[in-house]
Amino acid sequence: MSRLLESESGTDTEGDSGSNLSNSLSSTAATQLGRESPRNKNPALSLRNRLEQFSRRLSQLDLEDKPDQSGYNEKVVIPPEGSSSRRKSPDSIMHDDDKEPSTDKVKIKFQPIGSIPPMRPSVCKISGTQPFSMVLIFLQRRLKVDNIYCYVNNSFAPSPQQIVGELWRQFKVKDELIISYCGSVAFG
Amino acid sequence: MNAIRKLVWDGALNVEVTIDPELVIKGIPKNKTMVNLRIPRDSYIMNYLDYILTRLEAYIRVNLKDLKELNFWFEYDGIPLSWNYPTGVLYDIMNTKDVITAARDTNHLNMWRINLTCGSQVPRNVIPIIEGTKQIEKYWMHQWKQVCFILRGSSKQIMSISRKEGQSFWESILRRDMETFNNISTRIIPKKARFIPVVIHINDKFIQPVAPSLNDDGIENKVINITEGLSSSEIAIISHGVVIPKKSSLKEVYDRFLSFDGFLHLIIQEQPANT
Amino acid sequence: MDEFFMEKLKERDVIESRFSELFQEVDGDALWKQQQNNVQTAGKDVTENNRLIISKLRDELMEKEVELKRLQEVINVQDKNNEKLNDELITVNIENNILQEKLSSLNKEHNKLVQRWLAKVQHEVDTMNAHFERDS
Repeated sequence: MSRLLESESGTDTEGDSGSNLSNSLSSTAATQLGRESPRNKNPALSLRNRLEQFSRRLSQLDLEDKPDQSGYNEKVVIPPEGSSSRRKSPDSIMHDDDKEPSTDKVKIKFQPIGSIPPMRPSVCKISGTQPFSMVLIFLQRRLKVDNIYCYVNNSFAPSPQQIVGELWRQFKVKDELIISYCGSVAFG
Repeated sequence: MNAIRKLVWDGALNVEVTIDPELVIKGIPKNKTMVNLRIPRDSYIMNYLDYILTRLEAYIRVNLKDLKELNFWFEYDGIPLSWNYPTGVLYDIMNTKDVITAARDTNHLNMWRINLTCGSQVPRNVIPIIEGTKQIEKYWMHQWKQVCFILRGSSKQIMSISRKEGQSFWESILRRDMETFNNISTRIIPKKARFIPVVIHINDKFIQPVAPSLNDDGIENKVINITEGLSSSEIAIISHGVVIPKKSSLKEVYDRFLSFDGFLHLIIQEQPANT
Repeated sequence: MDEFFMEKLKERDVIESRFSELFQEVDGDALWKQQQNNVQTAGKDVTENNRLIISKLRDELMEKEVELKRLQEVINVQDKNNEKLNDELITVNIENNILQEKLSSLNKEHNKLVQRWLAKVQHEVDTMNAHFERDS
């Protein structure tokens, strides 16, 4: 009998600390979490329960965030996943491009337009098998900006699905593919 | 040649679009959830999205304005279609067998059954549309800029087109106004081009090769020259549902078969080894 | 060459436009206007009033669906709680059984000891009585 009493008091205190936690969380977190707080104050819920509930909620929030992300990525296509052999290595993106010399790397020269920061080395070597969308993602990450608009030879925006190597072959100037980039639409 | 352009421009497909059952009010019979349309081969299928939704509005369980949050794409046989290629190209990629062994039977009905699917995220090969039809128009305009650059080595020619003309250029696609389209497109396309804008579709891939209109000896390049080495088996080259003889001059084929996005789309079908 | 292409394209059109009367042509002008104004052209078979009602009902349906989702989540959480409580109950039951067993065995031992004590006391009394009888 004494164990039962003990365990009960245990859950009680846990419950209290849990509701404190939930209060502080819900006061700072998004409204969706806040909406749940009255129910969370119920001391019958144990701390573990509550943690599970929060983690579930977080995963839901994450899920609901995804459309937003795809929205802000603008025209960026998510890298194809082994859908075709030509585009099978989206992860080998050019972070450490200088380390492994490859025959199909192409030179790209980046030129900023307007108030966007310049790229530190303005010329990068990029694997020619990547779709152009990877260049967009690469620039977004390197410059830490949400929106990026890229133009080849100051004139047109290629389709994100086009292959960098093919663009290079078709539009290179002195062995470099010139890509100008901008934080807003530059050439309607 | 104008007669050929007219036939290419007027080419259309019988398309049956079935809407995602998730969107339909429960208990509505399936035959009410589809529309049968004649869709021009030379158009983006996404241009018909709003029209299709409006046609089926009565059976959709949410208000159309709430659908703006969702991403839509078309699927054939479970395979998402990349809307950024002309409808006819998508059809020819998916139905290559029909093109060559087309039935002569007068009772044969040629149609394309596709599904309109929606979800919170688009499949990998589909460009998400977030600005509606404006985005499609912009995408298309940039395709033309690229075409202009390939043909002329600069996009000055297309820059000289006024905003108003650019607008009516796009309008001509939707209204199927061939005359306006020709007026503007012929200003972009030079008589003598150094390079030809070509997209080759083979299996599930596409290639945009460097395709000079003349080869190193100054002789006109043939279609076969740019498709050589792509496949080890016997191939058929298709454009607008028609088999193109391999020895045709590339420029001549371009002038006749260019799509409304300015590219010549060639679909490669690998022939079975035994035939 | 052009004749060849003409013939091929016409052949294609014969196949692809057979039964085209079953498929509706999209009116390009309407399509253009729809995209320009971004308005949905009204269907012919629904009157304006019905249209309003349906749109309101659809809004309601949407709300209900959101509510449904929320309630489903509540149920899920409650289910988990239920499970936890059940587990607790079972643990407590087992504990109770063990204690009961212990209690009965202790009771038995206690009784035994009492018996033995009684027997001992009886024995002492008996010996005491015997002494008294012998002394008197």
